[in-house]
Amino acid sequence: MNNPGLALIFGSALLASAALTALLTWWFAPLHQFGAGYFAITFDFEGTMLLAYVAFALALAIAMGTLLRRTILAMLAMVGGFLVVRLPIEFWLRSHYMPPVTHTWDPSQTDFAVNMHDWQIAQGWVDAGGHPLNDNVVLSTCATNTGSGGAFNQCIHGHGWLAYATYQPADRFLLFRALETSIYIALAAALLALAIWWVRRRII
Amino acid sequence: MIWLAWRQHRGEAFTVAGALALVAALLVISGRSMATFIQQFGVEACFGHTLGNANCGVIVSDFKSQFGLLILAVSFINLLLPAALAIFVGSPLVAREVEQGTFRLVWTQSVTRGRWQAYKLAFVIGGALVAWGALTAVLMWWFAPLDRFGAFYVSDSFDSEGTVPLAVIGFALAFAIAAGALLRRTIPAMVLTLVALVVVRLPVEVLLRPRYLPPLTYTWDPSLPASQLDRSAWQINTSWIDRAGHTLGDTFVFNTCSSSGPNDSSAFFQCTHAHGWLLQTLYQPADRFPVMRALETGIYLALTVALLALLMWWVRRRIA
Repeated sequence: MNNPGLALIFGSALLASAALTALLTWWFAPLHQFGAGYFAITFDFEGTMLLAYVAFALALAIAMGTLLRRTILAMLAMVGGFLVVRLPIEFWLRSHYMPPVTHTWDPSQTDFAVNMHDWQIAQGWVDAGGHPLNDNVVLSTCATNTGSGGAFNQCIHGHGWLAYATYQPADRFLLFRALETSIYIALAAALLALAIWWVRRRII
Repeated sequence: MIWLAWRQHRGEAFTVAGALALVAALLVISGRSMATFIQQFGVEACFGHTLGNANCGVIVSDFKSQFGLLILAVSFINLLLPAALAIFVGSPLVAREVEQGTFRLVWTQSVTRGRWQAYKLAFVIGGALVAWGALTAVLMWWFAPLDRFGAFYVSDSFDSEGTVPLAVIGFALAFAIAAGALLRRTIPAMVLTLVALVVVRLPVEVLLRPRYLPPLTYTWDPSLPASQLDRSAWQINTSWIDRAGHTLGDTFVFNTCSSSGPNDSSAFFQCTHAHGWLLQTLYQPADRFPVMRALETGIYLALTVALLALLMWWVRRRIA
């Protein structure tokens, strides 16, 4: 395989991504004052993430083109493969890198909201034993009667239930970004190695 | 001839049918749980004119946390899938035959190239329309409970309901096929198709759609208790106006009125009231949506017909 060509393509793509990241970081900077309720949004755009995505996508496309040997099929496989990897990481794995912090409280006594700088993962209600309850069960027990305001939280209290929220504290974000970057870089390296090996040994 | 058209495209047909069946299955599952939730907890009443249930706050916030992301994702279906279909099925349709030289064999048979091309277009575009008709039926069923809330989700469901998605798929395919024929190369045609879909659909959505009919205005003084604009209306934007009806910049209004005092909107509105300023919302009432959909369908249909005519002329007279 033409390794200088590969280096040139990756080099220029990563350089362009770095420039775009700098611009995006500047663009998002004023929003950080509001706290990282914006964390979930800026995670994908700041730091090393864009470079990791670009490296992975390029390596995937090159590997698919090498293995399938047909351009359009490889393009389709690249789009599909990218979504199959990225969507589960984005919407499931990312919130599981470390066990989230859980806070439980009695909503009839106090109020609680996750700090804007943290990333809220889930919220709902738990029973007296601390087991999460199905939202629909809680609502159909306590929210269907047309009582006065506050009746809902009294009803929750009456059943011995508590409200809970889980979140990832803001100080974990750099660690999470480093972890996720390494996942994509590792995948990119493996795919590139596969493509290079395939070209050397298998094609023709 | 029909056999050859089928033979050339059956792989694509199976892939598209499989993908759409998967999407439809996911829509049926998620749509049923969403409709059940809405019906069981009276979400519709919570969005209505009168607050139906004292627990509406809890119900609406739980509804949003359970289904908000899902609704956003579903509203993207008719932005992404037509582009994917046009790029991967439409662009190579003529371009690959030219690139690989197979047009020399196929287009010199006893069937004239114009008729052959017409059959292929009918097969591919007709198949896509049938598939999208089925998908649109599922999407309309999926959005039906949300549409009853009023127009909160109108910008999400506009692309998914009625005849607009069918006209869009026709336009996207016609553009992709024509681009492939004119450029004679698959990958440049794919790139051009992607660019064109953005360049055409974005202005239609952002600039034309609010202006098919002159928007109505609703003006009110926020310091006074007043009736609300009908929730079924599609609100385009809201701005401050002075006594003479001239638009005021938001920054100017905030600088004038939000200077001192506690963090309290009533003091702010007292200040705007003292200046005689009013809020004005531009909106399209819900009973115009069918006309707006028909107009947008007409735009895409006209573009489709023009592109197909260009394509047929080009294939008959210019290629080879």
